[in-house]
Amino acid sequence: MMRKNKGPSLKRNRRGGTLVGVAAIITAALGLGACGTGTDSSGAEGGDVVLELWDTDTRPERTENLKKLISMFEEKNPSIKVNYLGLPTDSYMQKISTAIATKATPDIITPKASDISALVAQKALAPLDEKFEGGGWDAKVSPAMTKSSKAASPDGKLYLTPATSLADVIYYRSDFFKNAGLSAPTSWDDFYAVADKLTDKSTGKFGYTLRGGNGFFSQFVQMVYPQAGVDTFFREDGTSTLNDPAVVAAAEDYVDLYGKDTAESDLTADFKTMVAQFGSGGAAMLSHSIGSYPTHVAALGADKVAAVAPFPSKSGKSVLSGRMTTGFAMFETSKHKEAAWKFLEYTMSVEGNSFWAQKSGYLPGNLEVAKESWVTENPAMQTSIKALENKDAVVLEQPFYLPEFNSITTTEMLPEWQRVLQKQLSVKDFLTQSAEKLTKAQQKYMKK
Amino acid sequence: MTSLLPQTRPTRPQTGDNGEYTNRPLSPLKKRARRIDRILTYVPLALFLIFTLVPFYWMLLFAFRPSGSTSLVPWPITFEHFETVWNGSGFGIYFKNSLFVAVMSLLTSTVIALLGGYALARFKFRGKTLFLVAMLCTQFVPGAMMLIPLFEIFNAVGLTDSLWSLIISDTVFHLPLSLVLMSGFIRNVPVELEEAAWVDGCTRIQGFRLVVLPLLKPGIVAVGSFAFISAWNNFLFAIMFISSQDQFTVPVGLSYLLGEFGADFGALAAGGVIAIIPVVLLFAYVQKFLVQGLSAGAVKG
Repeated sequence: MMRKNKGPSLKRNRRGGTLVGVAAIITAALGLGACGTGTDSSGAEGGDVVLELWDTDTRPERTENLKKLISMFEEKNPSIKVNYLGLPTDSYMQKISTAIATKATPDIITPKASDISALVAQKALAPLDEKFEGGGWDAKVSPAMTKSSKAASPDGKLYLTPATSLADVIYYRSDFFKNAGLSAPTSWDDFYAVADKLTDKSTGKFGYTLRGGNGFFSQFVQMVYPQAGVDTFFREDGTSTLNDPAVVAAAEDYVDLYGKDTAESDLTADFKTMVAQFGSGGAAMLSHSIGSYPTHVAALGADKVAAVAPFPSKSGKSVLSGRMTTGFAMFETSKHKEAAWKFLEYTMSVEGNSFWAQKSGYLPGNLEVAKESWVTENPAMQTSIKALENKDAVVLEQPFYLPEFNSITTTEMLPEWQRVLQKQLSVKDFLTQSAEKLTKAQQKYMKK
Repeated sequence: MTSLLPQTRPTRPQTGDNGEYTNRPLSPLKKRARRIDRILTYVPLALFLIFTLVPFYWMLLFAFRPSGSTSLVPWPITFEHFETVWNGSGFGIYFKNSLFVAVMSLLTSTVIALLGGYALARFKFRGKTLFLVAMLCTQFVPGAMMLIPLFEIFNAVGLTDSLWSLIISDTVFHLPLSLVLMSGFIRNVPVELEEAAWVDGCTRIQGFRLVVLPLLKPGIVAVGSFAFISAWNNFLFAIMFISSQDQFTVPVGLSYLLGEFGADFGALAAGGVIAIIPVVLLFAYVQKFLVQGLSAGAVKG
């Protein structure tokens, strides 16, 4: 018995040896990894002050541009070093909330206008009004952008530097229009007619791609409010204009596009789906902000993409939507506020602003930069700037200062919106019930 | 599966005394039944395969075809997306970091699970059931709830911004499952084998190393590969505990490729391919052990 048992046990012993071998290989691989990480951690100290900057919209090209902007700034300010950290665009807020809760915030951040009210409510951001006016920036930077930046905060103070801004445009495939012998639309009637003409369901080509999924609200506002000629979200008494008869009528026209001149799958289309559809030739027109111009040019080439601004309403009123400021903000807990402000100033200065706005495809805030040739030669930007030159044009400010605004327009309204597209809910009922929610939030805010 | 074929399609028909048990040409009725059987097996399998493989094909297609192309085959093939992702987006660094974290988590999880699992399987101690229940209960707590306390702890011991914070948290979160799994595997090794080794003069540790450990290969592979994969895919801890660019891991790198205003599908798909390579390779190697591991003890009393 004993002898018999010894055989297999020896054999197993050899197997144990191979196990040890595998473990040795793994350990070797590990050593390799450990070496790599060991060398990475050193070499952070260069200047006297080290600033931490967190970016909330990390993409390969943007990272590259932002790093270049930082190195340009560091060259001008050798005593300041800026450490860049890119956070993914869909999960940065969780990281920031944890950082605020554990007092581990960075110095500078690039928040979205819609994040400002949540961050200010936690007293996380530093107000910049004094420094902004003290530096004379109110004369050098676009007043419209400064106003819109202040409008995004619940207390009307400036937290987000008006460095750059987005604006909504309607992109169209200039090659499709040319082939069909059509010219760019100049009115809403024109737009709907063109969308219908360019739709050919048999070949899977549609005139427009409608955002039915995540983030639908920005497209909805962009298309409906200018068409209705309504230039404000709330009336004086705090009631929402969503159920205004003109808004309802325009929304009905917009919803009618779905299924007729758009793909059925647009019911769940988010930004990525829309871009893919536009880029692959599945849709001839797309509403989005000027920020995506570089993406379309990269996918299609500059000769196939053109843009028009949303058109004036039938009554002739010009309402501009999507004028969202995109800038930089400073954390209240920053230990190097002076140095951080220097960086913020640099992003508004001619050199920094020109580089940053041009590379990101944003409208520049600096008034000098707005006259540079790269702005005047970009069709999407020209459209947006020209629209602003119109003296009667009114900028529609979205109520980002309302803490509930984001949740109402995303999680609460989205499923109902999809029911509207499926004809299970009327446009009027949808807008009436959404208006009630927004009115409640606004009136609560007004009472404060 | 192929070994079944000769039985279903007999090549040398034989007639014996007891016709029922020999290979005879099948009656047309039976043939039809077999065919229906086969259709019922393969059609759902094929449908299922389509569901599983189309996303993979989509990924490979976008990764290997030039941007702007709408062809349905990745031809002419291009590696530009891999170039962009590996060098431009820094996947080279993320890959190295991920590998380090995943391999370390695998090692620590497996070693601790072996030690703890042995104790749970072989020893009786006070509070053992309570301990097992507590283990199970920790599985109900989502990782996201632990973020702030974990962050505070790592901050206090100076481990934030270090890959070790990921290794520790991944190991800890994975440990209950590893321990329970491993103790099951150890319990399946008859204790008599160990006792025989002791009679032969082994100490307990020697007995474990020489007799039990070699029999635990499927268990080690199962526990290790689960630990590797969960650490490899962990996005939440990586984004929360790391605050410098060169310490991030592959899942964070992947999420960079989706911007707010732009998505480069080619780069995203190439990043996806890079991210799944280690997992696919690992499974290709361990799958035979894994099947053994999962079914081990299924028929033993």
